[in-house]
Amino acid sequence: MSSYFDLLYAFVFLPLTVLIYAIVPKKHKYIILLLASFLFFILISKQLVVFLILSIISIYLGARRLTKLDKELESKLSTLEKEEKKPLKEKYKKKKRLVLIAVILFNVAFLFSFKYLKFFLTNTNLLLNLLHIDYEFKIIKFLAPIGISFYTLQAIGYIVDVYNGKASSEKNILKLALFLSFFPQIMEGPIARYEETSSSLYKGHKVTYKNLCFGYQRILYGFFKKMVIADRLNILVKIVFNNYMNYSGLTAWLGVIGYTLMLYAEFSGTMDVVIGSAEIFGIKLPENFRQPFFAKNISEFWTRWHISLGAWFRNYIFYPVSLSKPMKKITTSARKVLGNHYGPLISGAVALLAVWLLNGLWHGAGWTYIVFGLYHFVLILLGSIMEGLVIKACKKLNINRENKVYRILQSIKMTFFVFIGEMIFRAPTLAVAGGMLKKMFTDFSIKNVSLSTLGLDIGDVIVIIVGVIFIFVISLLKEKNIDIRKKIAKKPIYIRWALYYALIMSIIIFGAYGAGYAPVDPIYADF
Amino acid sequence: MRNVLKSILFFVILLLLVEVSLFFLVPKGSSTKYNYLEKAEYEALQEKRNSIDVLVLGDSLTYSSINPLLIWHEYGYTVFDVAEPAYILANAYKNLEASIDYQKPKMVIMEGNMLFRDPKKYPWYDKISKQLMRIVPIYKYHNNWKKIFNDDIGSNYKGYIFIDKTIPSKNYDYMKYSKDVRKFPDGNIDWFKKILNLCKKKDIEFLLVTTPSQVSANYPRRTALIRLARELDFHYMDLNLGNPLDIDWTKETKDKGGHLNYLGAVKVSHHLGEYFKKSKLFVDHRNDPSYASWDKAYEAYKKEYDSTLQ
Amino acid sequence: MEKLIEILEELQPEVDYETCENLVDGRYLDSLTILSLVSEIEDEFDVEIPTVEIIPANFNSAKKIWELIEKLQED
Repeated sequence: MSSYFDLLYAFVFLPLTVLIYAIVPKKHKYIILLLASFLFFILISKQLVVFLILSIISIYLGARRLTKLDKELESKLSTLEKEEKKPLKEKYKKKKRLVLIAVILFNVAFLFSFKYLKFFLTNTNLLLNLLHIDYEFKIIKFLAPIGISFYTLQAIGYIVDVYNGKASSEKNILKLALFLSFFPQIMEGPIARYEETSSSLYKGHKVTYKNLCFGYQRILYGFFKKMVIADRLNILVKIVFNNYMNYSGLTAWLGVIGYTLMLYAEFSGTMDVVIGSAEIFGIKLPENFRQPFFAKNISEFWTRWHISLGAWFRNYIFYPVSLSKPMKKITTSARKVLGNHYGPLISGAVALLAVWLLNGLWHGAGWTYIVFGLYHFVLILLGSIMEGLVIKACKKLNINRENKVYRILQSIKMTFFVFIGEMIFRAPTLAVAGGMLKKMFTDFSIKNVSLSTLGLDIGDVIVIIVGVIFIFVISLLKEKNIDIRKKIAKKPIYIRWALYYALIMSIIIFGAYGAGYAPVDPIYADF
Repeated sequence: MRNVLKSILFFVILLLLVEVSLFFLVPKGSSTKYNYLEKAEYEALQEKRNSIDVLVLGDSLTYSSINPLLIWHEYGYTVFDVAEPAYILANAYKNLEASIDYQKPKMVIMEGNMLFRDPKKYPWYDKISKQLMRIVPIYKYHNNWKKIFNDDIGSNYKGYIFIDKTIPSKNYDYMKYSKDVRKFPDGNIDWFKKILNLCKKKDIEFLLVTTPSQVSANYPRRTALIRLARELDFHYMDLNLGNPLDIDWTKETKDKGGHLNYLGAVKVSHHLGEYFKKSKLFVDHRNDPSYASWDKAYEAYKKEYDSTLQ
Repeated sequence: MEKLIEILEELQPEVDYETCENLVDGRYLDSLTILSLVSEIEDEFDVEIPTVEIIPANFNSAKKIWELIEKLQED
């Protein structure tokens, strides 16, 4: 098994797990999910399971310790006079903080050695070389960090929530292990908070016919996105990004737009499989996409695309940094000089920079990712500074910002910036990103735009266009708050089945698999 | 209970739909003797009648290392890989029988690995694959809907499978001398003799090849094959001892020396092309317009090769 | 409450704060605006909003924000 799109996953692993889950008594159902999760992890990430176990133990012990400290404090406080309370509270806060930092460091150290050590050492060596220091760090090869990037964020989120009293620490280590390693989520998210999913994971729902149908329905939609659209676009994307210098700017644009669509189809398709899988067990995972291309601006885009990652950074980086004590001091003095609107922007900007640097780095150890992060930092900050001016300008020009045309133009502008961002994200090196950018804005010749040089034929193009329109219509309906799945469920059986057959047969026939196609590797699992 | 019945009905209808679509998707060829499922199984039947010069029988070692389109491009001979994963001799024989009923190859090549595969160890594989054959052809043929737009679409690699994966091994001598002689599993020699006789009857040259593989090839196997060749009087070509093709096992293997990847396949195919040329058995078809679809197929391969190389 | 609405209107004038119940989920307040809002509330009402309280549920309507302020003032 290699990904959620492996047929073994959807048609062997998942059904078998569902079957066993259905037979086992309610009380033990969660154990089946845990066993399945570990099996899944071993099948994909192999030896990394050692890390997983060590990490779960560290999180468990850390969280229990935090709760114990809380209880100790409480019982001691009840016996004390008011003046004595404050120093005691401080003392316990320090103790708790120590535990928190130790657990986080332990886990981040793992992630760092798997993901960043090589990048870090390579660049240090380059620097040493530049400084004419005759020393070179040996670059150690580690296992690929498949499946621990998402895991680590969720684990850190949990321990921080316990620290803040937002989540109670789980007493049963098996239950905690399930929350942290639930197999649909562990490879590519969504990153959930303890309060969101834990009780549903442990409850042991009945497997119902309805959940089974709805779950597989959603999984099929995910397969459609991935196999019909993403895998087909992969040919074009690979060719354009690998040989952009041989093509015109127009073709580069095709590749860039193709990549953004491919990324969306691949990742949101994965989420359909993930959320659909959990749905079969009666578990509702948080959504990770909300029609991102309907967003007004880049900042909103990131609350609709990979929602759980954005939320994680907002909750655990953005607010804690921007509202930390030193930042608050800066805000107070900045407000006196810059006024109420722009004053807080300084601490906001610092926090935003931290968020986007980390966001870039989290995706991978590479300069393109760092630039990708900085690009968004600049865009969002500029957007925020400009917004006041735009509102004023619109008022003066009598433009209604709720107007449909205005909204569509906003989304088009936003999408344009997304294309550029994802181009940087995909480019193998910064030099390629720069080269492509230059092509895209200076070279408008139409040499070499013929389809065959792009690895596609007319059939591929038709399938891509029809497929994208299909997804667009569904997104549009969702954006208008129409529950398509409920609507379909109400239709008579022959219409429902005809729809299912149409979807399945279009995946079987129009899926880009087999000879001549290279499926997209799970893009996010590697991050 | 109603739901169970409903589910069963759902899947039965689905299978019917797949079956119907297969009927349209599997290339008809011009043979009327075989139905579309047989044509899906014996792929050489889909090629033009009597258009194939060389049939290659074998398992995964064959379809990963012998690329007919390269030989076509460089020499103009038409080679076809009749190869299935973990193929056993009995099935290979049936395939050959059907294929030469329709094609008139001047040479049949067999890859030696099949001789050492014990069919008794693969009954489950055989059974499952036979069952799956009813559905699985869709995997190979689904893309033929494109024929609506272009009749001879070049996605057909003539039995070869493009493998772009590389999991490196080391360059070491895996053909160290040994006194041992490997035994052939029971029954294999009988099926092999049938293949030899079939070729003799149809007046087809026969060649046994062992393609490079650090996992499958070794000295005891080589000795066994050399003795067999002497006993039954056929040609044997070993591409392992002394690494005659200069395979770089750190770059040209898909799975730590088990199979070659697309780079290794280039070397094997080129070597065989030279061999065919020296045999003077074949005619260069490159300027023959009735073989134009081979050029199209080569272009498709070349594109995949170029994009993989970068 | 009036003071709060005044602050909100200055930060983001395009919303009817009496009726709107999805200030955060509807993207009327983005995270940078919330930052400004938090620092103004802290100044104006002499409270300290801990980061764990900054969740959509507490900021989705003027009423909710007001409830949060009242809760913090009691502590």
